[in-house]
Amino acid sequence: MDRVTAVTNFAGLFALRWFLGMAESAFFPLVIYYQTTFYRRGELARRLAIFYAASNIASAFSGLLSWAVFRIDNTSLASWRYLFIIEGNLISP
Amino acid sequence: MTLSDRSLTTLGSITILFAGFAYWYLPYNATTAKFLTEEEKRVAFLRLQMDSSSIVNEKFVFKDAVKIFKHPTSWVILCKRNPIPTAPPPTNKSIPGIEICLGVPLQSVSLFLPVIVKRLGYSAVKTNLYTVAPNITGAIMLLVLAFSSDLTRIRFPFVALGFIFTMMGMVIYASVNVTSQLQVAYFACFMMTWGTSAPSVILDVWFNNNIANENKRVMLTGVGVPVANLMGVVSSNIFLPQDAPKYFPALITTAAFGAMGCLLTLSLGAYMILDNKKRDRKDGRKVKAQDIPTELMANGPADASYRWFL
Repeated sequence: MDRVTAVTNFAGLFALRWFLGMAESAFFPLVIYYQTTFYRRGELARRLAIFYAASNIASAFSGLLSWAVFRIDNTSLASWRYLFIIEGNLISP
Repeated sequence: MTLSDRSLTTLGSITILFAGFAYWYLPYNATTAKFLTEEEKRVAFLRLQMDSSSIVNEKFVFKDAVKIFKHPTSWVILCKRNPIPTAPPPTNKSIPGIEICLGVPLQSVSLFLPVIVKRLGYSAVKTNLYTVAPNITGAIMLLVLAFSSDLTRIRFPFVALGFIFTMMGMVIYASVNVTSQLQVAYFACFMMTWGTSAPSVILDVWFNNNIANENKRVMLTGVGVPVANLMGVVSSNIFLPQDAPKYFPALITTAAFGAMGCLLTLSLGAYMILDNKKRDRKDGRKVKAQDIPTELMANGPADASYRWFL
């Protein structure tokens, strides 16, 4: 995701977003499938729910985080570039 | 290359490094997990053989996997092209499937909750803080619904309940006066989040529970989840600037998708209950899906011993 930080025009942004989408699209379906190869039918829902809840709680704070990052000023980088640096380097599928 | 550009390039590697760590740390499957003893591995294998897959660690065969699209129930889940064979009257009209119906509320709430909360008229700081609480209750509700679903060994009513929550949240928000009934409007925001993740997670579990063949399972999951994600295209095109600040058409569209999803889920559930009864009569014994070992379910609904996991 933080590759996006170095982008300078719309075409570049679009191309990077395309590759980002390609890389992350397989993530959730395969996590679901991976879990079905470990857990029995009746215990799958809670296992998967714990995984999704963790991801949801993380994204609950992402709005707050991005708002805070947009408050950064007096720097050489635009604030949205900072956002991508920070979020791109955390594990944010 | 400036200094900042170079620091970006190095920083980007953390995610990649974690991917490498995950690849090394996570076991390939339960039967080869390094942290299990021989006996535990055997138990892990038997668990899955009895209660997950027809053939554990089955080799991937594409031709076998795509056969899942021959099942009418798969199309109710993805996009309902064909009617369920027994459901009269037959129709050629294509209507959205459950994944499509859950994709719209899911994406609308996750993309536009800040916009919806902003309408409540708080300051920028508060607006941002006030989106955190609904999202957290959403995650808690997901856990509550999923644990209840596992406890009761039944899936579809919980999927339907999730749809109802988001739909009701949208309807309440659309119908109250946001300035004079602020608390109600904010409560509606909480309600919206209760039903965003649960239908998606429990629906995925539901159809995975019904597919004993690992190839078919990965195929339907691999197509179904992106179908729901694709509905972000709908969500980001219904919140139009000219509808600001209340976004009536978007709220109504989202609620309508929720209602349709709920209806489809209940219909599919009802079909499965009826079909299970028919199978019970034919088989001459009353059994539940969870009591049938999955190794006997290799051919899916074609097997006489097959029952739907509700």
